[in-house]
Amino acid sequence: VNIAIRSNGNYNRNDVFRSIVAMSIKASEYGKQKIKAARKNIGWTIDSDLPLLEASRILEPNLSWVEGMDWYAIAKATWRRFVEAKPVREENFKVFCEILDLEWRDISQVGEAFDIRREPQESRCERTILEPASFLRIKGPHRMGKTRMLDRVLKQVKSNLEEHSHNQTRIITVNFLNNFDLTVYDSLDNFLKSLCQTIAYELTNNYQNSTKNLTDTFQDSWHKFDATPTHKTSVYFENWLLDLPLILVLENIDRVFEAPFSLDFCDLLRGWHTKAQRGNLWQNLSLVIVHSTDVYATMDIASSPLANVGEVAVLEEFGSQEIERLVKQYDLDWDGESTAKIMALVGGNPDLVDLTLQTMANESITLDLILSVATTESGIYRGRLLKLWETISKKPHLKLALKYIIIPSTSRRVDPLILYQLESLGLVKIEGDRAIIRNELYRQYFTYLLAIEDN
Amino acid sequence: MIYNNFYKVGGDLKFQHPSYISRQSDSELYQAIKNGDFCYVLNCSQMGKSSLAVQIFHRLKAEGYACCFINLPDIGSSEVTEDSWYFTLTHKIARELRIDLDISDWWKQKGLLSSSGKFSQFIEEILLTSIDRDIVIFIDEVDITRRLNFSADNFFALIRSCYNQRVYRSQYQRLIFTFLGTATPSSLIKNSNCTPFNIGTAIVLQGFKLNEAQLLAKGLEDRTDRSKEIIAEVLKWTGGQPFLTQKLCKLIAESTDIDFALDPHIIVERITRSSIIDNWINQDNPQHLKTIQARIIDLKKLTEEFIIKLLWLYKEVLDGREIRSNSSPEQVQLRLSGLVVDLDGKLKIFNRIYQEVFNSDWVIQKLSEFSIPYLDKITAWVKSNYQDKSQLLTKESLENALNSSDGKDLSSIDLQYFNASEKELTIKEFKRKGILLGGFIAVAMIAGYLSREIFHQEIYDKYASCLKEQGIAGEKIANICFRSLTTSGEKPAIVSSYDPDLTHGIEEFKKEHYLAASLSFKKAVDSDRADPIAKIFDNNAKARLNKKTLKIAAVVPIDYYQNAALDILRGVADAQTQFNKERKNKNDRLLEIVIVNDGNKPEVAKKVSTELANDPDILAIIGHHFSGSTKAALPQYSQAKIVVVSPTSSSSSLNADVFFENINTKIFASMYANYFSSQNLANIVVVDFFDPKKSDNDEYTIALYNDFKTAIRGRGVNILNLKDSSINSIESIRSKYPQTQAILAISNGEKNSATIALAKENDKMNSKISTDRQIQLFTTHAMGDRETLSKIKESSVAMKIVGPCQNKNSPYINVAKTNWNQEDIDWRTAYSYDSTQRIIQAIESLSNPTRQNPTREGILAQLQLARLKSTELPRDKSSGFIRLDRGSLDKNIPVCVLQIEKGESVDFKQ
Repeated sequence: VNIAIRSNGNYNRNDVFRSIVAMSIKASEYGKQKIKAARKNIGWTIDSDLPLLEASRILEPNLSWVEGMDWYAIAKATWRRFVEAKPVREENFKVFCEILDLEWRDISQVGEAFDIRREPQESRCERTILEPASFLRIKGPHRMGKTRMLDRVLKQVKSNLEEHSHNQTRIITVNFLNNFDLTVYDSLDNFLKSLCQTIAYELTNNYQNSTKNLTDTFQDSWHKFDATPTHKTSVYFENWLLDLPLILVLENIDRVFEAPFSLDFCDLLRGWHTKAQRGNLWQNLSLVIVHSTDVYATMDIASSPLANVGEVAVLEEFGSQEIERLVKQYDLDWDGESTAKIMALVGGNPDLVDLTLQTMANESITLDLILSVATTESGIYRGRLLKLWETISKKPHLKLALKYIIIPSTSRRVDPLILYQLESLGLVKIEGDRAIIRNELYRQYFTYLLAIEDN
Repeated sequence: MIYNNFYKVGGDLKFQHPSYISRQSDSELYQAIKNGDFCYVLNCSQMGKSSLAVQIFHRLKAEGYACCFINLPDIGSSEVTEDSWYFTLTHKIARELRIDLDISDWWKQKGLLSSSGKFSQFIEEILLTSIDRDIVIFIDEVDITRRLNFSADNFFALIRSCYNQRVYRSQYQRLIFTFLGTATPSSLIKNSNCTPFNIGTAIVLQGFKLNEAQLLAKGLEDRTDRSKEIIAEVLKWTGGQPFLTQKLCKLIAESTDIDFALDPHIIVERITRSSIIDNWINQDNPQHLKTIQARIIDLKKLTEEFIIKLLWLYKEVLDGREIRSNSSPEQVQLRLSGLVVDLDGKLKIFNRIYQEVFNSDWVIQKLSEFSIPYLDKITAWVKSNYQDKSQLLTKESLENALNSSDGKDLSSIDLQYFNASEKELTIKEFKRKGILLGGFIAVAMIAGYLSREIFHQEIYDKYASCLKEQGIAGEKIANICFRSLTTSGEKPAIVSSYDPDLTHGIEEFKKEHYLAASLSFKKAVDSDRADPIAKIFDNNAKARLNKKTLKIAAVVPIDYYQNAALDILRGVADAQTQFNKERKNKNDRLLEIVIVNDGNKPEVAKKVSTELANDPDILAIIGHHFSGSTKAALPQYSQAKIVVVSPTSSSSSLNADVFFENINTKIFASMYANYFSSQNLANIVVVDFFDPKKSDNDEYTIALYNDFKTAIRGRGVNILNLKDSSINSIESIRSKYPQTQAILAISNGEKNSATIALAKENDKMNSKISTDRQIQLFTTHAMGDRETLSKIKESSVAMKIVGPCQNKNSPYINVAKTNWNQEDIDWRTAYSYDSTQRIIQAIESLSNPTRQNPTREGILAQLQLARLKSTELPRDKSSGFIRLDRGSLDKNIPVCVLQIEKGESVDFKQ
């Protein structure tokens, strides 16, 4: 296992930070690909002025910026360095990420924590996907490393498939957060239409050897057929998509769970899986869905329609082994007690653990010092905590629920819908029918803020 | 761990799966289908319904039957119209049975038929002719029909008619339906006249019996030679519940730390406790026990009171009290959860695992999550086997408890507890007074008996007669205290008003002295010219003089939005007066308006509409008021083919063949979009007020919001807070969206005060800054009624309403002003006049002799025709208040703006 990790973390963190200007960041190899994809999606070339224009608008919002100016608040060379994954100033890095709609921590080398292999879930995911007619659900709160794990799993699955030269399995990923226009979620018909179109488009583009041009077949099969949207979709799959094995990966499916038709969509997935298991054409379909909350919280039913469907891989926080692996990557001085110390405060939250280790590595601060001021204004977690606070402050019911959960004297029944929102934010963990605050840091900090508010 | 794939936990078992257990129900279902019966398996979940169907399906197929398996959720339920649902069902059946026909074309050729009609023609013309073998159609998860937004009654009636046809047409004997699902027959179809379930064969799924389950021992044979004994022990814990039995067997087969030398009794008990019961909530995977819990603590579908009742009922069963089975909603829910079964007419807990998981502690824990003031005492009393008198309530706390139970539906335990407390108090009282012991027992028994009766009565009264003070009986519908009202003149419509002439008229009307009634009503009209009710009663009394009347119901929210109700009734009264005057022939039937109250509550609207739909004399409906109520009522009307013309419900989400609106949120939305675009107001914040817990009255708000989102596409207008509905103050808007130019505050009429408050804050902030950074506040039509406008003026705030241009000097408006003695006629009056006229015109356009005896279907057909042809009302039959080119939403609709500034209003201007 260790060897695999070594080859994954192919550079030494400290070296990177010593070699570049302080507070500079560069994109990881993974991030470079993401930047390229996002850039192409918007239609910006490496020489385009438009990213500079957009970035200027954010950096200097009081000045009026228009296209074709002689100079911008940011240099073209900076843009080029960013795109080529060379170090740029942190501020600029974040602005470019913002205009490309990317999460900067995900694509920078700072997001190293998410490259830690997660076991036993990861091997289990690989195994499950490779079984025919499988249904895999990957579940975990935001920023727990789901996307990165999925990327690794799919890469592994692909290479396993390629070992069999005549394997014709196709893998298509649809990300509900990026792929679709928001208005699509207003109607089931539009949504399923877009889903089929996206799959058809991806198949045509990525699997050239397919003789059919799927995007052409689409219009007829959809519009000249007055069946219900779900049935149209099933028929389209049967007629056009399932001739060869297909692994369909649906990312950020939470977006669909919030839509008015979520129940129908879950029924559709459940129905497909049942059909796949019964055999025939449908056994060519394997499904992978990735989500951060449980489905039924948003629906008008007591129990999840996907409750007993397929295999579930729950992505949890880091355990001590994972933390220690990350410590090795950062090349830090470490003793056995330190792991316990850090976990006592932040649990195994990958993001917070990584931030801690990164700070230790970059700024040569001791763990004890970081922990001793953790919940104060000068603590390193302040930015993260404030951001969470801001999110829940916008929704008073979330704040109230959090209070019921962390201040014992206020304990009260909390609507499951709200619990699941808090869970998806990574603030609480649901055990059985109880919610527990994720870690001591959150407990202390939010108890303090909630108490201030009450006075 | 040892991997065992003999057992299967959850999901359906494939045909001839080695661990499939054939039960009595297998042969029952098989035989019933072979006999050609309609069969249904309606049971709690995870009892093996689908597995059973899969086995029988393959068995019959092998015998040469044409079999088809339809999983109803595959068709979908949201956004599914009746036509597409039936079409899809037809398509699926044809596809599965490989019927070689283009169903799309065939369906289109049947254009004029109703959807269910097309489906039954498909059965007769296609299915039964192209397949000459016996056909079995399995329909799984049939409970999903309850989620459809149209009534599935037709569907069930159609299945029944297939069976009725057999007498005349022998080919129908070849067609057999089998339904499966988690529901009760009565929850699937209301109308008992056309239900197929009372002619069909119910297949009841029971737990595995010991002799049936012997087969399961096979999976354990390589681990122990006492496998049969183990299975017997397993059944003692699971009661033969299929899911739990398979799970427990699998656990035993896969466990590595079982000492098989031990007694089977001990082996099974240990593993059941450690792997299922202890910490069950975290071990319940795949989910089974949690599903049961969720069906009982189902806060989304059940009220808190109902859940408390369920828990207490379950507690009684748990305590071993004898509870006879009946079909009360609590018992049905408890049985459908699977937790409790009916054994020889008595309720029993299904198995020992349930009994230990859902034990007394669980019940008390769940109860404590609700606020029950005397919970500690009542649970202690129940724990003492209903004996411990020290836990009973004192006089004072009993009174408090009774007061707080006002309007609540109490469980039988609550009642027993109250009765016991009261009895104890009475006894104490007797003792205090020193009554002789000899006569005491008899007296106490009588007192106890009486108090029980008195308490039942008192509790009943408390919620049943919410309006007792007024001497008018109310009733309780879904927690709402509601006054049922249907009156043509025989009952007062408004509780608070008192007019001796009106009262006298009502007395006469009741006695069917219509002439005398009319004279009194006429006087009442003269004394209060603004009262539309007296006017309608007067018209009705006159109409009844001419024998039979044409009855139209006007459904309005009388006790809730009285002003709106009266404004609507004014328009109705005007149209009625005009129509009745113009029918001069002595034998003509005249219009009678039945005034009906729906309280503006969807639950009530549902009930009221059922009653109206069932009254064959009612020819058409005017109403309801809020879109949410109309939506709840439409299914009933659709089924009865009775037209509904609503003056005020305008949500574009209201869809039904029988529904005709006056104006539609799409039109409003498009007007706002046009206006914003023409004024270069590009950055809009929409405040929609609806709380995350959607109320039924948000129907309009949601529709308008969605329509607005659609309407602004391509117009250069943006909603800044598209993903953010949390903002609710100007301050929050300004800080989050500093570029805001205008706010659109959508009010459904209930949020008018909130809108005014928003306007105040806006004015305040606007006054501090330069003109170019001020925000304009827009609101919706629902704020354009007279009362609200005057409230806005009082608060002296600035806002704008965009809407269709109004003509306040049309001939009708001028006449109405005089008739009702008012300076201004509300838009609702004009709209309801038009709505009533549209029904009248539909009747008028019928040809003789139908015109004299119109039917619901006839009126519906005429209105549909008028809609198709976009026929406008004749000039003298229209309020002329607004003119809309119906159906066209293009950018050129004339838009007017009502601008209110510092309480000064400028009229709607183009």
